[in-house]
Amino acid sequence: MFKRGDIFVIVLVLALTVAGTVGALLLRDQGNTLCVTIDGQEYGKYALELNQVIEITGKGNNVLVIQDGQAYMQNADCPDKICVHHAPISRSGEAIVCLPNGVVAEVKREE
Amino acid sequence: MAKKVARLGLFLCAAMLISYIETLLPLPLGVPGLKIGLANTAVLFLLYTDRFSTALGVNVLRILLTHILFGNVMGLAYALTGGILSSCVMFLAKKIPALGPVGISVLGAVCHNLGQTAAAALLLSPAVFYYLLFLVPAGVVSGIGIGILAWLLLKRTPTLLKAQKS
Repeated sequence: MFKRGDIFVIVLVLALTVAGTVGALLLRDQGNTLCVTIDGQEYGKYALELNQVIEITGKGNNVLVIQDGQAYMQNADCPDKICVHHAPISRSGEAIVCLPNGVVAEVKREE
Repeated sequence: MAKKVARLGLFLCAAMLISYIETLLPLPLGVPGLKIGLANTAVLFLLYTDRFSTALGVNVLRILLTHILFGNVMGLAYALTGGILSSCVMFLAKKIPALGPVGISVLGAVCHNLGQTAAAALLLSPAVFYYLLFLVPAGVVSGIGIGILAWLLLKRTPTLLKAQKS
């Protein structure tokens, strides 16, 4: 069922994933800005230090909340609610994506 | 010619049916773009028994038609990029003698993930590359399963179904 090369491919792909994960973990640091885009167009930037509620209206409606330096999607009118179930984000590079509404909220580090 | 068209239609039908069944089995894991990829069984089978053009054609048409029919037009661009990339990579991988259906299927699944994520990164934001950390391991697991399925199919299907390569 398995050929020699199959095992090699599986091990190689998994090793690359582990390397990528470790790399991403090592590189990440606390971000300070939340950048929101809709379909790639910039919608707004928000400081992570300030507790705030951001209402995003574009292709749909999303409600982002920034609290204690973390951002999470409190509410959305998209069908799948994947963004609402996403864990809070705070480190640079982390993002919450709402595909149906085209919304990407990404944490960045800016001076 | 007529035989070829009939064969293509049959496999397209089968692939679409498999895709439809898959939409009935949602994976509640919370990662967008995560799928089992059952329809890849049909593509793999065609790669082994027919020409590359047939396999690629069935895959592209299946993605187009299922997205239009089952109302997920939004994901079409992502799925098409992933589907075309994975078909091409599986075709090239099949030329390596040391690889069997499992290895080819894993490469296909991972390349589908890479393709769809790259398309989403272009259209939305590079931040979506972060999802690869979940998509790639899932692709490896489902790729192994699909590969075993295709291997069983290839072993047990009567030669009648396998077209002679002209």
